[in-house]
Amino acid sequence: MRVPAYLAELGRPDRRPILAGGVVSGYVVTLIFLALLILADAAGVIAAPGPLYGLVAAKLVTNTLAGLSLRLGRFVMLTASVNVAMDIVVMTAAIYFTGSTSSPLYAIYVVEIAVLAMLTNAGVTALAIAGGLVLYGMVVLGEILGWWPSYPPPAVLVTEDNRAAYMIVKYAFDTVVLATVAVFLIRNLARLEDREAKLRKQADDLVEAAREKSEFMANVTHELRTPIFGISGLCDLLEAGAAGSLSDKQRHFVGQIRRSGQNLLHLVDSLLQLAKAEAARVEFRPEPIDLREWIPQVVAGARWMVGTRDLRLVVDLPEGPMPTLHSDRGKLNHVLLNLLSNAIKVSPEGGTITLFVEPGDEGVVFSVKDEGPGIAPEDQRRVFESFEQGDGSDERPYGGLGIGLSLVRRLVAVMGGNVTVESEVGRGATFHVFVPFEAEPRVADPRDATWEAVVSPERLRKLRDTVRAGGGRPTAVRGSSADRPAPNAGQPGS
Amino acid sequence: MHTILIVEDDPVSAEVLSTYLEAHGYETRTARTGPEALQMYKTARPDLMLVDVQLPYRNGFEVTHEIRKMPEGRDVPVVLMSAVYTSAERGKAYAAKGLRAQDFLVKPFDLDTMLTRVRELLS
Repeated sequence: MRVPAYLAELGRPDRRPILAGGVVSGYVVTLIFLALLILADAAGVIAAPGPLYGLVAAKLVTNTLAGLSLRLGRFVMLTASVNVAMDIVVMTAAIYFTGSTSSPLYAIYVVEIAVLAMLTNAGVTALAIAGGLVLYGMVVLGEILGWWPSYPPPAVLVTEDNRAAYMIVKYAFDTVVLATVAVFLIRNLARLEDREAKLRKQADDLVEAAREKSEFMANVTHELRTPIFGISGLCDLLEAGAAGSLSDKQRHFVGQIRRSGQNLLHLVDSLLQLAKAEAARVEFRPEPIDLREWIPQVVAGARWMVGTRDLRLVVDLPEGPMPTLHSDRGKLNHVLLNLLSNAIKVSPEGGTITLFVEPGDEGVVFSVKDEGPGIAPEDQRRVFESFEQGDGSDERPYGGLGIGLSLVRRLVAVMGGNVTVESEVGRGATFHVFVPFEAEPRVADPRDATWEAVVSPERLRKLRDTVRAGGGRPTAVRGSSADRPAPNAGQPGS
Repeated sequence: MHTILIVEDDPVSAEVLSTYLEAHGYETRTARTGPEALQMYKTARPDLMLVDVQLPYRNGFEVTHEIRKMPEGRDVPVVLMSAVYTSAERGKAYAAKGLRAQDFLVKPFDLDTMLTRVRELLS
């Protein structure tokens, strides 16, 4: 039999001190009610004292059983549940024997709610109260239908002689109910406040720890730049002939050392930017960018990544006037370099990497297309997360830290744009970056880290349509979607 | 012949700079810390200083400040350099005021670029 979690919780060892408190308060409240019952009985305002004494005795029995089983450490959940059920039965029966709907005792249900809410959990409390309402409903229904005899309420039994005693007992009873409810609610409130303060502190500590980690990373990456200067400087010296003239082979090796240094620098800078983005220290500084002049510079800056490999780096800029983009030059440069670096990494020998620039109504879409192995649909989300690369397995077909795309996503978010990927296994991948013409300067929000980059093919198409719509110049659909099926045609089930 | 004081704590970077500058006809002295740089300034009386910002004990800004306080150090050209972007931004602002440092280079920089700047400042 499956036990609901809120009941199972009653049996948990760490809950036992709390249940022990419940047993103690069970005794206290029951004995106070017993004393009041004796007083009321003596005053002669109880129509059926016998059954009420029996109910008090039954509650004392289940309470004692619950206490014993806590001490033994066995059947805790069972006896605790029975004890709670007995509360409800005793309370309902007490109400029945003191006049049902006219009974002055209905408020004892409230005591039960307060006690259970403090000592157990929402599930147990709700279950107990639902049980109470059902039982009380049966009492009322039975009385209407004449299933069982009815007993007069104490108020009916009050005479000139016992009026004072009745009023004192009634006042004492109401006070006990009110005081019990107040004590438990206040303790519960204090407990919640305490817990909230602890959680808030924990959250603050975590944020602080994350910030410190990012600061640390930023510092480490700065330190890493120093030896890189040594590498590039020594290459400069060798090439300048400071150690005598170089053979072709030596010159080639020096070039490779320099390239490795540049590669390292690029990675270190990516790490640095990522650390800054995580520490929410990236600022957006827009400035006018003349794309026709600037894009070739970006691509020239990426040529070293190709090195001695047999790859073609192609730029596809549309003809006609090019609107000016107001964006952050440094960040956009880093974004495009990262995308080009990835494309170069995954491209097979003889492959072509193309950078498409498509200005539209609201902004510009930069697309980097490669002829690599492509990204499976289930991996397309993950490639934008830190330290992921393709299938995340140990068998890495190409090197790198996989931090580039995570950084791209954050930087693009800072620029007010978005980045999407379109790919099919075996048919390469195209990354689209949309950057608005104008965006408010803003500081990176750590929430940019939440996922939002990969959009559905439908939204991607809409995006491209929007981009093209205002241009008034029908640009051919270039890039990936021209030479492969419509994005959503090939997707389902494939 | 011009003398250049290089203040740089990373030995490889210092060697790269001094080798390159000497190959282009300059005399160089190298200090590894701020206090050493101040001491050396008094004896070597350089015509130009290349000062790294991240130095042990006293950073490059402080060193420059101290040099400027000396009567004989008011006019010597100072080129600050750093591998740290944030320092670079601060350093550029610093140099832009033209008060203390004349130029700023972000490492890793091209040695040719550095040489061009040095030549300009010494002409």
